[in-house]
Amino acid sequence: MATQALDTRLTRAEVEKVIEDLSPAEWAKAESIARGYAWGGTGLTAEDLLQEAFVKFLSEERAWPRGVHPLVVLRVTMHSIANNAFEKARAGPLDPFAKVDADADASTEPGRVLPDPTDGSTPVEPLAIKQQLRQAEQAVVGDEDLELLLCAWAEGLRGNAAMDELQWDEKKHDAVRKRLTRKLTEIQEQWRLG
Amino acid sequence: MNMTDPRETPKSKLIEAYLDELLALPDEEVLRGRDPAEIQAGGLRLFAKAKQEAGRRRLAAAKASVAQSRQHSQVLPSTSVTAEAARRFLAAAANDTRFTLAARELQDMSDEDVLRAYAQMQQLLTGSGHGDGEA
Repeated sequence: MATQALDTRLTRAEVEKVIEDLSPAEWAKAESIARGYAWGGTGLTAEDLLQEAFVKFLSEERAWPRGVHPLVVLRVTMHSIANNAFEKARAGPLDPFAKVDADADASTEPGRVLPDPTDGSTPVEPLAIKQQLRQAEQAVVGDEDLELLLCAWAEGLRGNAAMDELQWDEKKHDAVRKRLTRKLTEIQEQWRLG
Repeated sequence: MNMTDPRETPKSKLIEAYLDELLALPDEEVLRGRDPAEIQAGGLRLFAKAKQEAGRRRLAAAKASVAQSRQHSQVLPSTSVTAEAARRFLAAAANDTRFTLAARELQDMSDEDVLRAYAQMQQLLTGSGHGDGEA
């Protein structure tokens, strides 16, 4: 019975092999996943998040399930780590939901909200969630289709639900979702600033 | 993939939607404009750092485990064994050449000492302690 339970998990050596065998495209996707979950409020960079995910498996704090695609495993793990980090930051002395006036300094780049310079108690001050969403919104401003689909995704509407709501056919929906994915990938670099 | 969470915000929903789409992208799309070798090298460097950190954590955990074992061997056993039962066990063990406890020493020992000696002996017998067999 114990042997069967262990067979459902990769050994440490197997985990190392799986990670070392990731293709360049898989590495790029893993980085993007890390950037997505590290975006704002966690106090972690994307590199921290991805590294911590690896450490958890190599130190056997977490088990790598056999037969599951590496990117799925890494995504679930990073989501969990990021959520825990966010909750920890939220419980800390600073309120990550405190509003910061993004328009106060007109000289900043569009979409870039600077941390509060008066607070030096944490290395990264969490941004208000609405303002993080604004970074994405500003990236698609002027393109109505992208704006609409971005809103739909932010409301949790995907696939057929999004098509119904937006009254788009499948062809249009496919084309716009690919463009939106590319656009959000282009602005990922900003997300590293958390 | 559905990563539903009751605490979902518009941002988290957007992230999940984006990541679902990203993972479905063909490789050439993901790598567009980037050097695949550089991406892979960067990833492996990060992984090498992770291996070092994991090694440090495993070592720290092993040290903590050894320290805990040592502490347990000095702690009195649970009260499920009476001093009388422990004394009878030790008396029998006095005839066991693996242990150096003399019968007369046993008579002079307090209940507390008897229970401690019993615990140490149990650990030696189960191979989980570092005792030398002397009580």
